Amino acid sequence: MTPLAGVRVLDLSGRIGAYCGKILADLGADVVKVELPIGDRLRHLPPYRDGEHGPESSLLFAYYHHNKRGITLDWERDEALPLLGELSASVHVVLASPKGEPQRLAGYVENPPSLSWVAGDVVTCFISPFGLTGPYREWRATPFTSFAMSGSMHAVGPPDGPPLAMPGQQFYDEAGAWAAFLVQAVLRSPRHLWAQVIDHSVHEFGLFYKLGTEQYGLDGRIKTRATNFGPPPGGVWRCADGFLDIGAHAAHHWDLFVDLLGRPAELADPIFRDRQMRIQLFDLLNDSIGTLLLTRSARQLVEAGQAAGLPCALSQTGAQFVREPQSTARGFFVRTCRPGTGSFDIPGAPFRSAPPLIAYRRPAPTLGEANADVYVGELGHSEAELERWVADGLV
Amino acid sequence: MDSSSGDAPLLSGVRVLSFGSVVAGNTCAVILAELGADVVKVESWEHPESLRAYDSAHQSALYEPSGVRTTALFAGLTRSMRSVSIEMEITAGRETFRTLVEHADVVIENLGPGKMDSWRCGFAELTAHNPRVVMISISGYGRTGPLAAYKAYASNINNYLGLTAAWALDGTHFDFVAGVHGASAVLGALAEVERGARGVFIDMAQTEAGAAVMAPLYLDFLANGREGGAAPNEVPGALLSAVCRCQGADEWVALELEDGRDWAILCAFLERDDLVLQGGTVTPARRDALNEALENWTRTVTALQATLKLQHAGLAVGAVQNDEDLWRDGQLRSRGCFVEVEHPDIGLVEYPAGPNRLSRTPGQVRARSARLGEHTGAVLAEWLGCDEAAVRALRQVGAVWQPDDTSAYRQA
Repeated sequence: MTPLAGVRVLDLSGRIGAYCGKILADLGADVVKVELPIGDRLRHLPPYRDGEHGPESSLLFAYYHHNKRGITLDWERDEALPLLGELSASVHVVLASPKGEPQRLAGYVENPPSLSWVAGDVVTCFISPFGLTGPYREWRATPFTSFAMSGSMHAVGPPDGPPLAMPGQQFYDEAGAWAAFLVQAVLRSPRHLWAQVIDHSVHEFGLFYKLGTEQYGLDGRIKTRATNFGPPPGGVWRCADGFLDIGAHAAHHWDLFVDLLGRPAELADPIFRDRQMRIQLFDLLNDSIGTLLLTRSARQLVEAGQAAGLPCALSQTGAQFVREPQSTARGFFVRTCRPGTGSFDIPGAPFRSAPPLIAYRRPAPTLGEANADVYVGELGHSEAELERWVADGLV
Repeated sequence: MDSSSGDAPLLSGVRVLSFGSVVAGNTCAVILAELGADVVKVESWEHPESLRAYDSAHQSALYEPSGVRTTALFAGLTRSMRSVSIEMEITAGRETFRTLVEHADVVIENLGPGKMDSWRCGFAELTAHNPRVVMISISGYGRTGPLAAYKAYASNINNYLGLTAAWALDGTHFDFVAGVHGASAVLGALAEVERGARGVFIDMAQTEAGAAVMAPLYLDFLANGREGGAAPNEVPGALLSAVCRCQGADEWVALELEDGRDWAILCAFLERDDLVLQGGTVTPARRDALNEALENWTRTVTALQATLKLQHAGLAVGAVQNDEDLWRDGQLRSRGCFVEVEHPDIGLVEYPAGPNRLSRTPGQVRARSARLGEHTGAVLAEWLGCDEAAVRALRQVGAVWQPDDTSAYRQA
């Protein structure tokens, strides 16, 4: 049930690596999240649980740290170095993000990128906005500014601007999923290969993302906000009861679409069967299809369209998605319950499997929840020492 | 991108059979291939993958010598793999495939609902041939539930998940999200099999991988029942998140102030002491005033100039890069993030290399995209020990095909 059982991970990567650590934890690794004593950045971002407002009531923190344990350590200070060394000696993987945020990471070595306090067969996985070499390596970023740089924002939004950023932190998380894959690949190799450094860059991930689209490198074309979607009937259409999205990339989809509407005269000209002609006649078709669909039911068109083999979907809100019977039938959402956020559902495993590979073992930790377990129980320090570090602000 | 060390690639020895097509399936396969897995792409000669014939106004239709179509887009997504042509619509083809599965570790598919079962190559049948096989099935909505039969393109998933409503018409690509998660899930399953489990079936829905990386969109509703999100370009929790026009036709820069320290830096940079927060909160009027002051300045500089100056001041800021900006991005160029691939039917193309930057065993593009069926004979020989006569017999019954079957060449 837990492919990574027995793997121990020290996670100092903050927001940018939160999803990477989450994947490793979901797959069964013992992931110890190390927060600065003020708490992870995600603890200080909304949304919070209603009626609460503090580091324990952040819903983002609760989601991204499910299945992890948590300790605190002021890893900006050099006084943390001995403890970082002790912590890393008992783990197989260290996740860290030494660039991109204002915080510094004690013991980070620039050239080649590495951590002075990591020794032995430990995988060091750095995740940063731009990577740890190159002219932008010192740049700060957030998911918002990072997405702006990715090349995926400029062509999204109203033609006159401004371009619109994707809400959330999806590219951080996808890059994190890729980093988890790299760590998993190292962990299944011979032990002597574990002692290596991964320099994972969200910006570089954003470039690779272009492999699945018509890239500039293939055709020299710059997509704009006026052209960033396929020709009709592709796109989102207003219907009587909501919005309908149609994906119509294959040649036969035009005929399916025309049949679905009962072969209206406006769309009967065979010239429209040619995708290139539909690009040429974009505006004309947009007007006539838009008018035809205004009086139709999106829900019925989706059902009939899917039955006929036309890829289409309701265009709905996030709240409507959450209520979809499909998610319930597949048990997608899982319940978490912890102090500060109470009981609520969070998105569950990104895939189902038989046998299950992902188990939900513990909710996200409260700040410093495992300090005594780790510093006293596992590293063998005395409770008096731990109290002294706490008083000093180190822990 | 040659590996500098003599170490074997991380996934060497892992054998993958891939019906992966278009973006989701091919992405999952190419990620595994570039870390060293032996990925064999399986295609029919009669019905090659649809992406080969993707009709684009901007990319010409190209042909392999056999007459099969291809595109630069297809070649990018299928690089580093080998190609075997098997005809799954005939019994001998299906038998050949199932025999290959006996020698494989992983099967990838994102075909239409029920297709693998119709070939009697569903997970149950395949585990009868190889009890330790890992099979990943990527679909739009998952292989169970009331929408299991639904077809999906990336835009459908955007809309279904609520991202279009919260953002814009055509943005991200959940087929890609599923492909990346698929690579991680496959390694998780292989680890489980190596620990003694029987085979693993992975049911990867684009909707579910997508919702997992879009949790911030749902949490307020899930916990508080509150609907509706932030305004466009408004980052929850930020003191200011702005996209400002710069000098030039369609030039923009994005800036986020995360806390009071950032706010003070920007006030000092713009010499607007009057907007400094004196212990007070950020009012909408004050935010608008700072935003306006910022844009008055950014209009006088290019997006890259604005980015450099504000980064030097210590702020989180980034130019809103278009496709061309990305291709000449100084950071990506400096780090060697592009790779040139020469293909006899396509020419020399520069592709994104892939973020596989490991110090000892980096990933790399292992080969140009294979022509359809280019490795049919080689894989049958390597995996099954077929001699030439055995391969010829399979070709004669139409179970497999390879491009030197010149009698079957189509008119280009």
